Amino acid sequence: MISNKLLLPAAAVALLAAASSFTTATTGYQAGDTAVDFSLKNIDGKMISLASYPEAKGFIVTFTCNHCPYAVKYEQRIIDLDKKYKALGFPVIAINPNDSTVVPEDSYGKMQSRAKEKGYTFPYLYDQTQQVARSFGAMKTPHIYLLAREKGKLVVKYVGAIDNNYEDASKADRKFVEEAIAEIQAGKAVTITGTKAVGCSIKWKP
Amino acid sequence: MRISVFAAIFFLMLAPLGAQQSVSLKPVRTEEILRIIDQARNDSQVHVVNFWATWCGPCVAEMGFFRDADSILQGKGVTFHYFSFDMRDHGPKAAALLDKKGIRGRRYLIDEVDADPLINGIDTNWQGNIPYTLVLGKGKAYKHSYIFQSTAELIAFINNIP
Repeated sequence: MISNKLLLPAAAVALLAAASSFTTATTGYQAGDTAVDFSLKNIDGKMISLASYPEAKGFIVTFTCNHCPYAVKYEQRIIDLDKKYKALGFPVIAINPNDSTVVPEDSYGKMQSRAKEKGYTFPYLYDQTQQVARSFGAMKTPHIYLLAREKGKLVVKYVGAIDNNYEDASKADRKFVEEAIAEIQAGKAVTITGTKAVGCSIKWKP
Repeated sequence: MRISVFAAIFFLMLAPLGAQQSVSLKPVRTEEILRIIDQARNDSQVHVVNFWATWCGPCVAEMGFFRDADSILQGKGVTFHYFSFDMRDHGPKAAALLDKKGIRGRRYLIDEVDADPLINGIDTNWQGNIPYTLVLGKGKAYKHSYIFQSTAELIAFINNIP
């Protein structure tokens, strides 16, 4: 049970500051962590895990869903990321973590029809137990975790938004996921390892 | 003359209707929002700051608790602020929903396409998920980043700052 009443450090309000005195540990993955593999059912009924892609250099793990307007705003950008980066060794792995009893639009059947309608080129996995979302620390949709393979491990390189303009991709002047992949490909450290964005909170099981 | 009298009566009849028209949300940018929150924290009175959106089911579900808490706390010096994360062209829709829910208080529309500076500026541990509610005042600030289950729970949260 996560405490729901927490004192904010004065510095964290109205000022971006290191909040070292803030005692709530942020659960889930941050840049530098090693991601643990999982096995989830794809919309074609097959189980998929990251080990299913031994040739991948990394993954664009994307928690998303059908119903959320922000996920919808970013849907085409997720498709475009997969089209561009799958061939470069960084496929999109989309995961819907929402409880469909809370949001019927995010049911497995609706996932199948949505993927077909929009021509998803990537797996769209159903995290029915929500264990994968919890282990990643995903809080909302869309929520991206960029992983890169290093010495046999999958290391988290970036957590956050795809870019900095939810309204209009063409007006985004920072494309965080693409920039991070470019840096990984160049053998450089990723400059921006995390961003925040608005999204729909994951609909946890009651 | 006769026409202008009729016109005057006609407009007088319209006036009360006009008064009930939805008050549109005030567009605010990150800098102003952070200033409002900072001022609220340092104020001698208590401020409740709620981040919400029409597309956020849990946010809409808890609005009734906010309306009731506002009524119950009338005269106690508690100011309610509502910041909508609706898309920038959805201000009228957000205003209509607040009206329907009977929400008074200060109503804003967040006028940003990149929420990162705002979210981090408020709370580096917040991922941007909503609902997200703060109670501020007297130099203190508390957060609640889940849906409230009742008016009593919301009032208990507000009472963190007596």
